[in-house]
Amino acid sequence: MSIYVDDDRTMPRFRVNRNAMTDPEVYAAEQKAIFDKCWLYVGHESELRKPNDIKTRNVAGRPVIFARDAKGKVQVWINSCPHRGAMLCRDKTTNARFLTCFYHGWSFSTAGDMVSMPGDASYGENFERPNLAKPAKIDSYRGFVFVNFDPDAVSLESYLAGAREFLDLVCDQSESEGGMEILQGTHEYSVRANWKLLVENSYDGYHAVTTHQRYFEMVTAARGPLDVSMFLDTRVLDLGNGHAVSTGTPAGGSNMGRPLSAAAQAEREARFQRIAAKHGEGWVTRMRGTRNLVIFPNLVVIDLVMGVVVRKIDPLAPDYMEVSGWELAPPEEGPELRRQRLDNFLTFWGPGGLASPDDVEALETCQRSFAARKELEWSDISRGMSLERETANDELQMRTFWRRWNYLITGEQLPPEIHSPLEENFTAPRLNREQSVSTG
Amino acid sequence: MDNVLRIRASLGMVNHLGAAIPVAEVGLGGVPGGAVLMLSEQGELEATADEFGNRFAEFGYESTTADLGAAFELTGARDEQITAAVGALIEHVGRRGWSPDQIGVVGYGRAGRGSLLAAGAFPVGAAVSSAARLDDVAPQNAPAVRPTAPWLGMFAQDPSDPGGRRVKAFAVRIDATSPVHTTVLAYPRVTAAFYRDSREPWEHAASFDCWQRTLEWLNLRVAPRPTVLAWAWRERHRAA
Repeated sequence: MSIYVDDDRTMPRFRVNRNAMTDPEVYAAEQKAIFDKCWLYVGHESELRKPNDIKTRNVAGRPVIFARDAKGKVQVWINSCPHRGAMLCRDKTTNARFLTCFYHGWSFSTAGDMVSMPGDASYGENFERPNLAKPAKIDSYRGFVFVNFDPDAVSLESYLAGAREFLDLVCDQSESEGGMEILQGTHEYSVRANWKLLVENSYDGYHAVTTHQRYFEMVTAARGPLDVSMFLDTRVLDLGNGHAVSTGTPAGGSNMGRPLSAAAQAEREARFQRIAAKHGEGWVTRMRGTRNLVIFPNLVVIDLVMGVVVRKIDPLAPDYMEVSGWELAPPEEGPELRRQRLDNFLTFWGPGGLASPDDVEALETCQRSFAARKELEWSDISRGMSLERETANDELQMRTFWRRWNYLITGEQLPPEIHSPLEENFTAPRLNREQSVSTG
Repeated sequence: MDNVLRIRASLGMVNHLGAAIPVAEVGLGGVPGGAVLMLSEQGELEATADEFGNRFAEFGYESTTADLGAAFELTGARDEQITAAVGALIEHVGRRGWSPDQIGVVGYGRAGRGSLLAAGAFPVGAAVSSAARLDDVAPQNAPAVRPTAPWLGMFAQDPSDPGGRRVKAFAVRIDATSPVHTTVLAYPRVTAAFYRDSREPWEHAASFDCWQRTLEWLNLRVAPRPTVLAWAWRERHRAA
């Protein structure tokens, strides 16, 4: 049995050893077995609107340049001069065709080519001029750009497995040619806790009412009693490769956030109807619902409370992480829907919003209390194991993550859980226009 | 005492469609990093070449400064006429071995319209316009220009529009229509030639900032001329 995960199917009970959240050796093993091997999210293509637009990011502890080159191709480069190592780009965001190292002046294009090196005669004519270094693999799925530092990794499409369908449910929400776009502005905050605690929290339905009590008080004060089906009429899905989603029906989406005006509701409704004509009514019914998706190991996409949040979690130490959050939106939406979206992005998801500070406080107290791991060695993630039909309030999604984590760290393969099949309103397929027409 | 070594610009003429455009050139030996075509205000040819040509030289750019206003009346000139003249000047700079993407075009005052037009018409590395009024570069009744080369516009903030709403609206409009990166900004509490140094604190700050932005805009975008060894290396790789 793994020393980190206790998956007891007879009781049943699922526990995670708290050393997994505190031990520097575990952290080092994660860098090697997870962050050097898995596909990792860098950013969204829409963040690079024009040629030579540049964002600098950290991925798996490495500084990278996320850029659109002069010909429009999205590129990811290691943000370090091949000469002596200084960072080539020290701005968070900029536009430049050439990046010149401020240390010795070596210069490179956004396509990664070396352009000039001062005093090159001193290197001789046979000197092999280095270009920029890059991750072993770069690929994108519907605008989401990922890198992989393992040259032998499976393709991104294979890696995403069942998560692709849930990204489609998000990406299909725009009818524009370029698809959904990341809005300008980033939430950035840090948490003094292990990164896996935020992964768990990102699709943990169980904590919502207790941790975010004040938010729900505000919602009920503004809109009246909540429709409890938003909690009960939900399901969780193991999507393969450690990815999982908790998903709900349209009741969840319509219960939260501020009420919309009739005009904004009509705009939204008309868009959904047009999408239904293209992809089928069943697909749009699913789209109207909610989803909290984690793409293993550290990308979170939450389609809830009037918006889509894309969250990237970067571990920097066993007890410290940095978090970036962006809002994904259909570029064609009108001003009221956009205002509502941004309002919720700020007031619910923002670092000073009604949700994130509660979560940060919860996670940081977990991490502090893990100092007593000798006396209290295990955390429990068993909820829903004994049920035939689990919901988002259960903990199957976290167990899915932990089983994959456990496999990559220890090599121990734990079998997936079997629950009752999903109901039709969670499985309606995405039709293309021709199918939609032929099925009438 | 000013003990800075300055290069004296050599004066000449570029003939274009029967008009003679006066130019002042600051050439460099060795392998200069890039070229700058400066479009001066009318009558400011030598002052511009001397001040900014020498500053650019410190950073590896040789320069050609031209006084379009001495060749024809800029106010009232058609865009086609200005664009053709700037095209002839780019060709002139090209005779020294510079390809368009190795050239930055920088226009001052009313000649700033010329660098905006250059950004819309030629594949230059970058373009910059610095002018007292937005109307000098983008008159309200003039056809809109869609830059296809990165363009930076710097203006004095209009005292009758303290929030700078007109400049901001122009910035949004030109960014939305241009396929490339553009930036537009306005300096508060400055007057006409804010890009020239002054003892007045706001003007001094603006001239410093304007120069830094101009130089950085070019450094980030104007393609450097490859050295002989760099050419040889590229050819070897192309052949391989």
